[in-house]
Amino acid sequence: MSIPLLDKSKFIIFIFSVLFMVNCRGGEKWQSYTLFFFDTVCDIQVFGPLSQVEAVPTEISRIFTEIEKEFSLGCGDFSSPPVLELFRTARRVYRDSDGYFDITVGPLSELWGFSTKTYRIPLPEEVKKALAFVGLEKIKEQRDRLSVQPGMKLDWGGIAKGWGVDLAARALREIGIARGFINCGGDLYCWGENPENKAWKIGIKHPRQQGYMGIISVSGLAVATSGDYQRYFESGGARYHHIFNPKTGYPAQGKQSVTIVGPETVYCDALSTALFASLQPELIIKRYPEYGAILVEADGNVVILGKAYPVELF
Amino acid sequence: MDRRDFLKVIFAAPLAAPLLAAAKTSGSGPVLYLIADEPQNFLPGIIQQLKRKAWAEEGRAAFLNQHPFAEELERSLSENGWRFVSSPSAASLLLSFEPLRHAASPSFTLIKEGRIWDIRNQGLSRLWKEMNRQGAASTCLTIASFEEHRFPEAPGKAVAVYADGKRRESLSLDANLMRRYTTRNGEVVIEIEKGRARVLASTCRHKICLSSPPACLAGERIVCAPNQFLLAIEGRRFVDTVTG
Repeated sequence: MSIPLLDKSKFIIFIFSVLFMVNCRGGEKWQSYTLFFFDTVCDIQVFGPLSQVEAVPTEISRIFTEIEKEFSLGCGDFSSPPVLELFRTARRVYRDSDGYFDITVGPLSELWGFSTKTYRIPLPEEVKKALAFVGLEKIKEQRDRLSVQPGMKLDWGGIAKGWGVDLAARALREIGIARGFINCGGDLYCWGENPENKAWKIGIKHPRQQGYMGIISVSGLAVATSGDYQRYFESGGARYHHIFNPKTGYPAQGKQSVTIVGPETVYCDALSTALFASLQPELIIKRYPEYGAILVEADGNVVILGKAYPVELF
Repeated sequence: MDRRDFLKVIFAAPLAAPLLAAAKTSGSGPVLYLIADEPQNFLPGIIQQLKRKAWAEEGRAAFLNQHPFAEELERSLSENGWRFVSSPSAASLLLSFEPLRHAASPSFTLIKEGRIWDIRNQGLSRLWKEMNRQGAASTCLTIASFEEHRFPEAPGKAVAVYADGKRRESLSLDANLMRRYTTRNGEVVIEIEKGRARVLASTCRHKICLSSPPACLAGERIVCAPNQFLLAIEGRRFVDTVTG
């Protein structure tokens, strides 16, 4: 069918108007933000009413600032409600993982220089000494206050970021942000559909090469990854990374990365550390039937455990 | 051999149609057709020339059917960075064999997005002439099917620079340059060279940004958290965001 020139231009204007309305339906829009929290980059992409979308960075900054304040390494206020709440979650994963996820590894992080970035390989007796202050069962919860022994140091790095993402995502949905994702250094939650009206496509970074090892397609779910390539130093040809086996005091062996998919970022965050450190990750994931794991073993072999989510591996 | 003659030869091959269809089942990526005995002598060189394309980057390869030169192809492609896997679904380069009914001059051509692409002008004219000059007529058709969608990492076009958490500018990766940025907490110097961006110097305490490998693929980034400084490679991305 041929369209006269004038009609054609009107038609094009109409098409642009429709596209504009689709994109700004009732004053809604897509917007991306890049913020810096938790010593990393936080990527946010959201879709919603204009005023709500514009409020997103302020809302997220408020939540993340509060979490950074409460959960910095070795924080002292053991009676604040957020600390008590996150402690209970950490204790659940500690118990379910037979102690392989442990927020009391602070003395080990310090000993190996990860908290100050002055890396060193400690002597075996130093490791043994530090292990005396490791073990979440040593912390007692008494009258809404944690009783932490002198010398113990809590390292919330394996759980607080994930919890922050959950809180922020919940807050954004409550103010009317219908679609989006919040990604803090690889701990992320996505909801609704992506700009192409499909499930969000999450690239899993390859632990040893540039680029991705696979893509997860999800919505209304969280994803988090722990890997030996994120924070590490090398000495004598060996790699010493920041994920400790709390039982030995040495960096956990046997895996390059663990990616967890599931309903809550806080559990994805903690479970990725737990499965990375554990020698029997299949036993841990069984206790979380809504969660799935993609493990890259030390030899590069990929193992999928737990609940199956749509993932394409390369 | 003229390209149109080449196609006539290919499509006259018995069973070629179902095989070609099979080669396309797992994606709509480019397909390279090569007529030659001892294809191992030519295929790595052709792919090497096509490496500017993201889909021709090394990855996993697999055979779709029995190939008379399978061993030799596997050896020569492995030497060029390809890793052979048994499952075609896990591969980004699928190789298949089809015997031609009549022997034809050695040659090759590429079909991409339903079009014939003359790749001889991409540094392959010498190889083309050499094949035609010395190669005996062959009935061996090797079909190399590239799975474009399996390469979610495409080379970036530009790098976006964020300082103090704010986007400052976007620089082309084609330029070779060095640039200094002053932030609230210090200074960061970056370098763009040969299509890759990296942090050359930073006043931050732990210098983690300096140890980050150069970034060149769309979506890759280098972060200097103390300076709230970020280099983000821009370009066509196949994912919405990244974990890890």
